[in-house]
Amino acid sequence: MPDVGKLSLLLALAITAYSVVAYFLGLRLNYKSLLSSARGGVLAVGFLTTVASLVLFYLLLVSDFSVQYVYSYTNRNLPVFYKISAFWAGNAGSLLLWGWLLAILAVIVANVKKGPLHNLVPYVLLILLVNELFFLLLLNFVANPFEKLNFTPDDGAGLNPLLQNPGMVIHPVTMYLGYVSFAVPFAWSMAALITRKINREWFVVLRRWSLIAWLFLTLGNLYGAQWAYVELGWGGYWAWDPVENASLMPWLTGTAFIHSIMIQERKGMLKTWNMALISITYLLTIFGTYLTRSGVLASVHAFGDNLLGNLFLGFLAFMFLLSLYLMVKNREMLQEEMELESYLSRESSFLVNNLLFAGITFAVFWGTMLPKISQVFRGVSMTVSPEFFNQVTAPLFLAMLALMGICPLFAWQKGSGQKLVQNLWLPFLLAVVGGALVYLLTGHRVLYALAGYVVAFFVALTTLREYLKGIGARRRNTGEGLVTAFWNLVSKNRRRWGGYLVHLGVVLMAVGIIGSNVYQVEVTKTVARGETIQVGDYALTYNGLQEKQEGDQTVVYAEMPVTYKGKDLGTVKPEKIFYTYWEQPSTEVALKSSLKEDLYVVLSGWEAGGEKATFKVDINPLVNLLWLGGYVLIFGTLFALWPGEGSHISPRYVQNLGSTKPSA
Amino acid sequence: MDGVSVILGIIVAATAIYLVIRPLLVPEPQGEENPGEWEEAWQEKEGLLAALAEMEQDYLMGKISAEDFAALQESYQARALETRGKKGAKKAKTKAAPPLEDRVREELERELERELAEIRKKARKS
Repeated sequence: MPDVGKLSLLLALAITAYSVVAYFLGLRLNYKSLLSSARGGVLAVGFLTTVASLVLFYLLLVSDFSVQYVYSYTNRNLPVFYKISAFWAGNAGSLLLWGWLLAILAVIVANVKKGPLHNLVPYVLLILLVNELFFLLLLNFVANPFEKLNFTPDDGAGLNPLLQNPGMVIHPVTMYLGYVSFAVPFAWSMAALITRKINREWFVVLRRWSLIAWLFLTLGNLYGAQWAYVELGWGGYWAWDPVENASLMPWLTGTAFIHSIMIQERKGMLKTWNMALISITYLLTIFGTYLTRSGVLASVHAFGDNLLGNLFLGFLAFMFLLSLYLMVKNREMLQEEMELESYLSRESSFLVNNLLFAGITFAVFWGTMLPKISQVFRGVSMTVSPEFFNQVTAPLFLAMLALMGICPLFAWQKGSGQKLVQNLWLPFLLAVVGGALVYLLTGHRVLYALAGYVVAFFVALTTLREYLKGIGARRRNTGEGLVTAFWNLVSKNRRRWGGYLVHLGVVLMAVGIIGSNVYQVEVTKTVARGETIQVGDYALTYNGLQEKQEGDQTVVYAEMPVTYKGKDLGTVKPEKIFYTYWEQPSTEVALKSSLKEDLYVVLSGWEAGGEKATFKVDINPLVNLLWLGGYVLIFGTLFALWPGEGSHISPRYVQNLGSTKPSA
Repeated sequence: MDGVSVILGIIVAATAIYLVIRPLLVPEPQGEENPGEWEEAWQEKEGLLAALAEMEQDYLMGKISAEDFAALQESYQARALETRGKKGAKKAKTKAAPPLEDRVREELERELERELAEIRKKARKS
């Protein structure tokens, strides 16, 4: 059976190479049958990578240890759920996942219905096939998941225990989908450059694909953070690790692009910037993969392979030069159609938004690459601590958050300073009062955290006020009831109101991030049997260790009764799991969760046969708002994205006659 | 390689090669690939109307002053009428347009006039 997988990959490579040539010649010679055959090639590659992927799933499920990949990442006792997730546990499998997803996306693009965009589709597919070709070359000649061993071992080496978590089943798939999907808006952009044609459908398609990619990247980051929180056992969810940063950077530039493309769509402005931004976003996804594969920077998430890393770097350079060449060659079509008419307008606030996102991305990039850059130029690898990232990015994120509150108060094209002040003062005043209440009621005196809360309250209030004013305006106009007016308002322009829902999700996330970082209580204590650990209002009693056998795992745990202000909360059960096939035990965090805070308990170690044990006990305030906000954000994105009425309205603004200079 | 793998391999390879070769042997029918003039004009009109609706929404939500709204509205109405004029000229040139397309165009023009009349009415009220 592995031979079927190998054959599929080899055939997929040959057909991809053929389709690239067929598209190139077909477009140059306007040879329709050749173009149709190339399109058939896209379908065939989708089919072949699907066959290869199904074969790998089959080999993992039947534990065919004659295949090196199956041997390296599974064993007989691994639950079926994790046998499936072992598909992307190693380099070769995750490259196959990438190639498979990309091929499926290409098939979706190839089936775009005939219409105004039909002429662009071959160019889009050509760009996607160039990407596919690179991945299939790697899969066939560098990291083939169907390589066989010379013998068939009785059992496999097993899956890294850290990867045996439900989060690790979903996180990589969503992350890869995010990474891979950004190739599609990039390809549409390059196609528009090559054909020098941009129409309204192009914006609709570009926006849809960008949002899909952004949605998956958001999910990937969110699930990754959740996995780190419950599996790594250090009490946090984001450590500014190079691989985490690698997935954050395209998310940041992707977010900037989703905003700035609206200015191009409505006013024909920022064309060069948008082309650069989507290219950078796509290149950052390749760069992120380079960081993960090459082992160039130390990370808990990385697979180290120098050859693979260097090949990714080469491909990155090639795609960078290609996109740069296309932009320079077609610079005339990137001329601005309109000028900024007012500094107090929605588009000007989007410009500031883009500058802030660019600033944060640069700071993250610099902090991530500094160890490598300093090593190259000074021979010494400098260490960049998480404090650097926190100190540099926190003010920028705060400014971004504030802008999210101010931006919706502006009208497109021409706002009014007086109207802005009228709309601003009440939410601002209420937010300050909210901040003051937090200060007085909680007794927390961290100034920048209070500033963060004031800004978060302000954004929440201005956003909610937008909904209320929108409903009010609609009711006055139509006489509809409250619920009908609300539904008609949001459903007839789901882009705008779904976007505001995303903003509310971000506010919740910001409150969660500030609370869990600034007000975290952390205690590490060694206690004897019968002793109690007091952390804040929580009291945990240590009653000794117990042991149980789960398959080939030995689980050592402490069942600890917990009280909160004297009230019984039940027990927590922090665990250490020992595997017969893995040297390091894994940590299972015990959690008592509420919207207010998490009690986070880790069994760090023990001595004298469990007479004494060391626990790390954290109180993480508001951390669940981070996850809740993430789900609100995802719902808002889906609401804005869902096809149908209200998801594709794209107003087209024209230059106001007589206006030559921006006014305040 | 066992027998099942050989058979599966042959089926997989044959299917993939068929997908590539078939369009060379049996040309696919080509549909309309470019937007017609009326479609581009419709898109332009739709964009202008959407901008007018968005401006009106912003005005009703108190984000834009009455003077600025009136000035912008005037400019957009002029542009929309100009678009309509262009469409009329195009229509005159393309007398052989299919009857259905004509009906759609006329309906769209009526819709534009209705919406502009509504906007004027609301502006007068305010």
